[in-house]
Amino acid sequence: MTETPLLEVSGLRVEFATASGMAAAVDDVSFSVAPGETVGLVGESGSGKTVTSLSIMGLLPREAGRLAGGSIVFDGTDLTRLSERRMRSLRGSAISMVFQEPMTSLNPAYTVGDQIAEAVRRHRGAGRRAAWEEAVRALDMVGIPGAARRARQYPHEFSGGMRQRVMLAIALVCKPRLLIADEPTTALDVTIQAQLLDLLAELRRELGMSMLFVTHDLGVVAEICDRVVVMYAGQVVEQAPARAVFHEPAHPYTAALLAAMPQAETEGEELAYIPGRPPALGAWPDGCRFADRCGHVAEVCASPVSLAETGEGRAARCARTSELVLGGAR
Amino acid sequence: MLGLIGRRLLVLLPLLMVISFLVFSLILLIPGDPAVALAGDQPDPKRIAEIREMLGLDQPFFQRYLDWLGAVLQGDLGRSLFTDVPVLESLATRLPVTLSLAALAVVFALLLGFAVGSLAALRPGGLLDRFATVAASAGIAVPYFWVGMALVSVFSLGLTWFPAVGYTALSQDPVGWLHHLAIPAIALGLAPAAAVARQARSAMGTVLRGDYIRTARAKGLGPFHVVVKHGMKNAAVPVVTVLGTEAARLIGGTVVMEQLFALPGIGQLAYQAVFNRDFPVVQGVVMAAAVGVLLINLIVDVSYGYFNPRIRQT
Repeated sequence: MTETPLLEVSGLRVEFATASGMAAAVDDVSFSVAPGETVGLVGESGSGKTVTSLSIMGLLPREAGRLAGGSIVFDGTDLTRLSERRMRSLRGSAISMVFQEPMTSLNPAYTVGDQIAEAVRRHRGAGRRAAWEEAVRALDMVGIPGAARRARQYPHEFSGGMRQRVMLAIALVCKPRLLIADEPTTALDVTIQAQLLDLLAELRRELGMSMLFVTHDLGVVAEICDRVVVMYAGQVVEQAPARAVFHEPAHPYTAALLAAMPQAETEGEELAYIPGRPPALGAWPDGCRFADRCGHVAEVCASPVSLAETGEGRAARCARTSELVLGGAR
Repeated sequence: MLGLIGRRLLVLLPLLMVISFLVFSLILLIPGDPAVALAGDQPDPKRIAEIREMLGLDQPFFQRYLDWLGAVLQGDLGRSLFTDVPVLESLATRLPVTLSLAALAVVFALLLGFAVGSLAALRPGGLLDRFATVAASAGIAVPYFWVGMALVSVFSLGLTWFPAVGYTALSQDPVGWLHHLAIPAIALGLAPAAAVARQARSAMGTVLRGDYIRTARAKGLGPFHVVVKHGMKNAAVPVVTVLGTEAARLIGGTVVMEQLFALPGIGQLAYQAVFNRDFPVVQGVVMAAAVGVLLINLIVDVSYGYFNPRIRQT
């Protein structure tokens, strides 16, 4: 990759207050997103993917989370050093985010048009009427029929899929350069999910923006991502081009995730799963954090492992990656 | 929205009927006979009987109720037994005073309570939050007439910033109006403010943790905009509910406050009328207060429709 990345996260560490003092929920996380690229950030719940994306937005919950190290460089500026005021002017204009819960992410007390127009007025200094027209255009762009009429309606008059489209309209109305999509389709029906993914891919192309797509669903990744960053227990364990991850994963955790994807052909067989559960926050071992659940565990796994390059644009955090032959997607 | 208001108004009609009956029945509960009181120091039974007949007190109870109700429906609340002034006229001259006092107290309670509660919710467990919690408990516990006397002795008698008693009409002198009512209104509004603050603190606390607050922040909105626009409207429903109950209760408080501060409102009228067994006046005042409480509930109900668009359509 010779292009300057639009977003470069390096050595990110985020600490949370727990009963036994501060614990790192995200530790030494590094990855980048090139202009126009879609990067999938994959991991189970609690792996730190949402904390990572909220850190980029500067929206970590104040009481609990604290940025303890690393940098987040967006378009040449380190966001971790920006004042809250300057960060606010980027939020919703240069970097936008859509969230997992379309049912609760819209304010029930205002019309959807108002909630979209608000972003336009905030960032463009547009007048009421111009902002409203912009909001209607945005609703139209995300494929809501009868946008002008629908803009005057309240969130409770929209279905889950439609609400997520409204969220998308809010995020995209100021034409951001980076969209962070945090499990935007998880709460939706499968058919609606596919529609929304298509829409996302199409809008990404149209607006020429980059996308960080946060998900636990590798199937979704295969559909829209160029590259994949796999997180486990607060660390990046593997990153690689999407296709490479599916054919030849370099980390046993990625391989296990791929094996756990249900397949239509394997009907009647028991579904594969990863035994055990991820270590709890604050109880992370010094060595490989996946060791307890890994089928390839050896003595070397007890000492700390760092993320090492394994090939062109690929890296894995596994001491044994060069000796292992891991199965890809079935 | 108009439909909502219309439906709520219709519900009020049967309620008003029930209230009118209860109000009229109050006569039976008040000890003493106005005829005896009216007849003077050394009443002779003949004189008392005459007065009873004149007042219609010799009629059966239901007959009297129906007569009274018929007159009330025509806007005639009767005349005072002692001053012979029409009750409606007394109410009309005195109502603005009581309304001024009550409205100022409610506004004070809402502004102070919502502001303190919201600020406390911004940093749960912070210094302001802990201070507000203690102050709210104290505010609810302290009786308003004591607060009134304390404020008067400090600000009126000590610092002489405010007059201790008296009233100036809003239409004559708005500044004097506020000047005279400030202390009684604050004293009366303090406990409601504390109740509102508590409710606002908990409602805001829940709202500010909501997903749509995160959405608002993700749009790049500043904290003021986030709290005031996206927070308050959603936290308003429980707050307004409490404010409504407090406002209804505060109507009772005006009786004492008007005595304490020599304000010529309906509370004072009620106080005198009760001691004189001046039934038409008592009935008129209680009826007016009951209508006031119903109107407060109506306003609260209708405000739900404003704050929560889902209610508007059901």
